[in-house]
Amino acid sequence: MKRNTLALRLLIISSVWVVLTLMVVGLLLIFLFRSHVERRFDDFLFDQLKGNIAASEISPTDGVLHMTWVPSNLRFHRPLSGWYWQILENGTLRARSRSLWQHTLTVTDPGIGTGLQHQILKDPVGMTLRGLVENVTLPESDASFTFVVAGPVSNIEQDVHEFSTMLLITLLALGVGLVGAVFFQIRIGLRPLARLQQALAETRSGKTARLPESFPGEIQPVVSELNALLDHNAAVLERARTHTANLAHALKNPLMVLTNEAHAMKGERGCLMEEQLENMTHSIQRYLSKARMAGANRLPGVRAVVGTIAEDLRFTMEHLYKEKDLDIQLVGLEEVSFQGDEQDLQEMLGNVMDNACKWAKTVVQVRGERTANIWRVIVEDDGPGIPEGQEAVVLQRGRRLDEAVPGSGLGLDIVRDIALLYGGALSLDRSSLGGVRASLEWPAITEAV
Amino acid sequence: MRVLVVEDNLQVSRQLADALKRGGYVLDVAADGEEGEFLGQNESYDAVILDLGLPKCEGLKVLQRWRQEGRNMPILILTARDTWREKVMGLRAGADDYLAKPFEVEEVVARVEALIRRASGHASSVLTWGAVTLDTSSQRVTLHGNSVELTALEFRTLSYFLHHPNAILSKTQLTEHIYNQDFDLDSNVIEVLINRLRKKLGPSFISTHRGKGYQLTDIDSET
Repeated sequence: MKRNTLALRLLIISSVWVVLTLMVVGLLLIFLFRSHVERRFDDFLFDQLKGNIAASEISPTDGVLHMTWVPSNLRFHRPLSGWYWQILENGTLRARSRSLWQHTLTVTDPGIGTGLQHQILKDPVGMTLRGLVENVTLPESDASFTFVVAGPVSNIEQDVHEFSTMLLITLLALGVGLVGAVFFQIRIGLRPLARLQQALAETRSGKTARLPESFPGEIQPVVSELNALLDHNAAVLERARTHTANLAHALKNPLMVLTNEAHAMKGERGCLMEEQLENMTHSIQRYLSKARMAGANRLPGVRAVVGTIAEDLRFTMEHLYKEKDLDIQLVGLEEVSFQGDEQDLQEMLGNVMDNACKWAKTVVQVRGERTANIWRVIVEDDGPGIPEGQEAVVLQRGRRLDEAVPGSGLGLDIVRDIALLYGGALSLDRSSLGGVRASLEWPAITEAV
Repeated sequence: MRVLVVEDNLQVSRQLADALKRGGYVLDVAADGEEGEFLGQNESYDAVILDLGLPKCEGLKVLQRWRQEGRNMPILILTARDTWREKVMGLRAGADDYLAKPFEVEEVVARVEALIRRASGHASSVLTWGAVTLDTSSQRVTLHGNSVELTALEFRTLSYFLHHPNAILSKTQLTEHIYNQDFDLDSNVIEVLINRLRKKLGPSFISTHRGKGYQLTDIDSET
């Protein structure tokens, strides 16, 4: 996926949101679980403490505290299990759990009448304990007894740890699920945009002339505007061409009449008129052909198929040069493509092929060639070729090397103008067939946007 | 040789007509597509000069309809739009040659001549029959290498015979393709013409087929 796309933006925003939410939920759940576990722990200690108090009585015979029964919970029997209880009488040990063995827990005396008190204690091996301490006065005695019950804090921590692990796994799964859902939502939700991208690429490469009109409401206005623009472009070009055609028609008939009259006049004045009329004719031809150029380079929706146009031109040349019985070969033209106006290509290729046919003895070869970023059409003939060093002259406006062969000398000049408009070029050199090798090239445009 | 000119610009049309008449052609002129189409459908022409930008019915349509109806006379199209698109469309529609305006009328005459020659299967501008040669471009006729002086009418007649070397040509056909006006000629006029040609080119040069018409005499049987 490319950087700076709508999809990536949406994906990042929702991922960050999902992760933050899950983290907060996780912490909250751990906190709630911990307090729940602590309460359960404390409840147990409380029950134990109350049990111990209930089991204690002062022996009427010697006035000493006795346990009428010993709490049976096994935790308190296993030595140094972390679970302990003890009873002190004014700081002196009176009874203790088996687990304490011969040790005593150090307890801060809470004082009389303070009720239940939580204390963090240390057991004989250094384990941290959570203890419940209460000072009690028993009947038949004035002494204050301190009852202590304690359990290991690690017990709570272990529960919380186990829970946290489970929770982490659960939340991770949830997070992955949510981000995945978001990803698919974006993919499906933004599919029309991908379709638009594809449609644009197709019009850019000239596969289609317009964009399809079936997009969701949010994008359709843009698409309609774009289509209107494409239509407008085509209409403007068509109008310009109609006008130039009309102008050509309007100018050329009178020009022709005048030229023929001047020709018939003979003499110096006739010659002068003929010369001036010829200049006019050439200017008109040149600028009308310039006005006709679409130069629709990189404009979406236009493409010309080189093979078809060359095929049409071959048919035309075979007719125009019927007497010469030329062998016009079209080779590899499917290799090249012209992302521009069809008429422009027709003008370029027509003039180059016409030139080749005019000079060729038997063969004209039209070959398509493609390199990484250049499309090229090479037209070769087996005619006499251009004399050494004269290539540049041929390309000049109105210049002809052989004034005896009919033509205005404008053809190749126009070809070069159109080629330049498309960022291309026309070059001439010697062909291996013996004649001229005209190479017409323009930049290749790939379909990728 | 009878040629149809379909051109809406009167001046151009007049100049074309003048040049073609000088070149020894017999003409019909139409100023719009409908008239041109009608003439092309109903008359027999040796060549047609057709402007593409015509009022009432476009030249390209006229051309297409003629070809659909099987009219196969050679057609030279004229246009003011000098684009390859038009050339391609014109030739694909069935035209034989193409000329972009402005042009010199002499060029049209030369092209028409070449088209007619091509249509009758001749490659060079010099037509030969036995000892007789006719150069269509210089309009010279020779017999055994010696120049022969012919009148314009005699030249047209000989030229028409040489373009249709093996056909039997009726008097009507000859009248249509040799005379400018479409009127009923006394059939004697053709007979007189043929006799004058026989006098200048040899008595057995043209043979008569009674009730059918005339034909160039086969060279082998002549000797």
